[in-house]
Amino acid sequence: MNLSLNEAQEMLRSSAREFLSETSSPLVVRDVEATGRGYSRDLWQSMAGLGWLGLGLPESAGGMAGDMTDIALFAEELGRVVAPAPWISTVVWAGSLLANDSSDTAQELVQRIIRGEITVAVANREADLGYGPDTITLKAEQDGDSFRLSGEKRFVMDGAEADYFITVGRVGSGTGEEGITLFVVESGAEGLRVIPQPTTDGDTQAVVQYDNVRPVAVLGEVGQGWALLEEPTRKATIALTAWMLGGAETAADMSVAYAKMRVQFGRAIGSFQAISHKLADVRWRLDAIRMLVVKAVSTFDDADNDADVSAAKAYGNQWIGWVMHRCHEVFAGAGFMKIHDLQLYFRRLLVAASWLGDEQYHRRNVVNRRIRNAA
Amino acid sequence: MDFKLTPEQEAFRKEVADFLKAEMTPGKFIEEAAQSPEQKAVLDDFLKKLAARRWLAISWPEEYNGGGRGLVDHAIFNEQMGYYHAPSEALVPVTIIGPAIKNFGTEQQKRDHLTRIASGEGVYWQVWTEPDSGSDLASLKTSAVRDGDDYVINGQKVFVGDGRPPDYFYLAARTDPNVSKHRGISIFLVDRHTPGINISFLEPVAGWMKNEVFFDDVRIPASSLMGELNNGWSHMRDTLSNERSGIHACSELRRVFDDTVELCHEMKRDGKLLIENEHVQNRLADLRIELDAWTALCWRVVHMQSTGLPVVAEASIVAVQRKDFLPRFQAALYDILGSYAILKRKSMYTLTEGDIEMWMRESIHTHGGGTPEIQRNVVAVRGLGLPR
Repeated sequence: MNLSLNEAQEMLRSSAREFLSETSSPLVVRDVEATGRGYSRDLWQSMAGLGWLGLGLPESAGGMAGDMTDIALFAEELGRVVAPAPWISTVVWAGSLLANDSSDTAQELVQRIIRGEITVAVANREADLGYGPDTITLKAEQDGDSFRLSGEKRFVMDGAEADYFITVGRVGSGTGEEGITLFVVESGAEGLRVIPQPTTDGDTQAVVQYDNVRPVAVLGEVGQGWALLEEPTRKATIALTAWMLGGAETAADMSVAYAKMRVQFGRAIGSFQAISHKLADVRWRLDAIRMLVVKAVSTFDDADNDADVSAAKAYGNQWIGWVMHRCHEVFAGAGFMKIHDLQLYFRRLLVAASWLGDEQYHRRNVVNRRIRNAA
Repeated sequence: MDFKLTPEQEAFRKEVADFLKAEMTPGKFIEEAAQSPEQKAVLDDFLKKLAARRWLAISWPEEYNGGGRGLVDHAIFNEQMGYYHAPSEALVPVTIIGPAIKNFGTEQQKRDHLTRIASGEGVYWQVWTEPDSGSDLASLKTSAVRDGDDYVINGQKVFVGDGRPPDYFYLAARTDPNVSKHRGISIFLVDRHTPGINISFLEPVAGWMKNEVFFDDVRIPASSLMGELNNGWSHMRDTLSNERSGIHACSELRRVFDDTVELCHEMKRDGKLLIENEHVQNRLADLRIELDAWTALCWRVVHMQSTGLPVVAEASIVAVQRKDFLPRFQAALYDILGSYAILKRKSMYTLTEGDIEMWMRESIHTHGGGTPEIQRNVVAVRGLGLPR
């Protein structure tokens, strides 16, 4: 048992923190939200310059070696500043999907991601609220040696500004995982409409409509799409939970600092147990989330890691929402105003909770993997 | 980073588990019988078996009949003792009093008591709490007044000990009433058979017997003093430096949870197995996730202690986790198992030999070792640096 970071991991964390303190801030987030551009190009290019867009991607494609711990550490640092950058969707999720495919097209896209030339979104969800294979109805029809895609994708994470979409479609009329196939689609493809959607956070998500769209490539084998998604999605889900934890840690730090400084009734409000016990509970719940993330990271290569990942995300969604409300109670009116940074964290973390599986989805996954088959 | 144990540690965990599986036969330690001589004999025998394996004082030096093992092994042992619901109350001498004697007792006290405790001999009670000094323990009023070669003790202690007749008291008393409350306390090791001591039982809602102890002009030799005169408060705080991950309490409930899941595969509501009831499934999943988080929080403390990192608020966070979870756990069990959950051990249709029902009652036991509020104070003040 060892729960300490090693020297290289400590170094990764401190250099990431230093880098982000210079390149990202609430001002950068506000600027992105004001301009409606989805993410900060400057930040993205700085990340490319220092190699962060290759973290965890193969060195053969220009990436830098990095395991699940490194990815989670960097994601947490991004979350601490709620960095407006599609790093989890492009590098961790789409990047891993593409890196797992040995075709020239996929490998070239990985190289371009690492160089900061493109962002890539995964378009998997549709009208159905769920996240499982049964929700996939987007039709993929054979057309010569390629396919034509027709249908609609919703809730596409970082889709508004993406250059490519890894699109989860279905070949044939099967159910479940049957026929599910991954297609790479260019954002400028004929018949494709990308419609940015206003949301609670920085309006980065999109509805993507496909009208007889020809993909540039198929990833892996036809009909194997759902299986191909499994590992990269797990990886991205851990990263996202770490990102959310990082954001909530900053919100908690802000709240503790404020409770020490804000005076009412002649005393710092942090001396009232109604406040200090609230913040003690915040500390407890964040530590519990951290432990579940560490567990999910440490069992990443195990066969039943999926259940650990779901435990972390279900609990993270539930309790980060709770933590943010407690932080807002500490700040009261001040935090409710848009000039205050706390609300940036509240809004961005609220939206993140629905990416890559909401509380209900992940709880059901724990039910299926840890409860029903337990005895 | 990982929670994985070494092959040696895994083997040790299995060894302890196998031993306890064989020892902890249903009905062996019954809470109703906690007072009886028969129960004491059964318990003494159990402690002797632990001592024979050098597990009772598992992380003490071998010179005192200890196991000489590290804190990770100690935590593994506590985890298994919890999971198999072994009588943990009997471990107070080795977990609290022995380490205190080792840390600040006199050489004579070490010689007289450590090997005995590690061998499962003698019953030692921690007698600190008073009727007017619970959370505000430092306000305790029981007095110890120096008189020649003796101290004379007067006062009353409450909610202490267990069902077995004690041999020694690990006593906190006021030796200087004229200084601030934290400065005038001292610790004594007192022979229970000293004249002037009276004990009366207090039956708790769940678990073992508790007691009141009255001291009426009890004259003890000055050599009973443990540690520095008037420095008792800091000694009392240092007492907590032993294995303090709280893994024992966590794995106790994991066992109850595992039993509940098993019951859900057999019991029905509206003709359908509980395990196929979506509401039940969701509640079980939430409990399981929280137990996993709690377990990991415990092992974090083990990791910190075993690598020499200072534990500041982390142990209190574990305590808050337990105290907050326990009532919710009870409510969830009642929701899932319904009317069966409150059937006591001798009821015809009791579950798990009355264990589930015992946890219905034990759920109000959130005060031991510091109320939830006191634990949150520690997290807020020592962990977060918030003002008092």
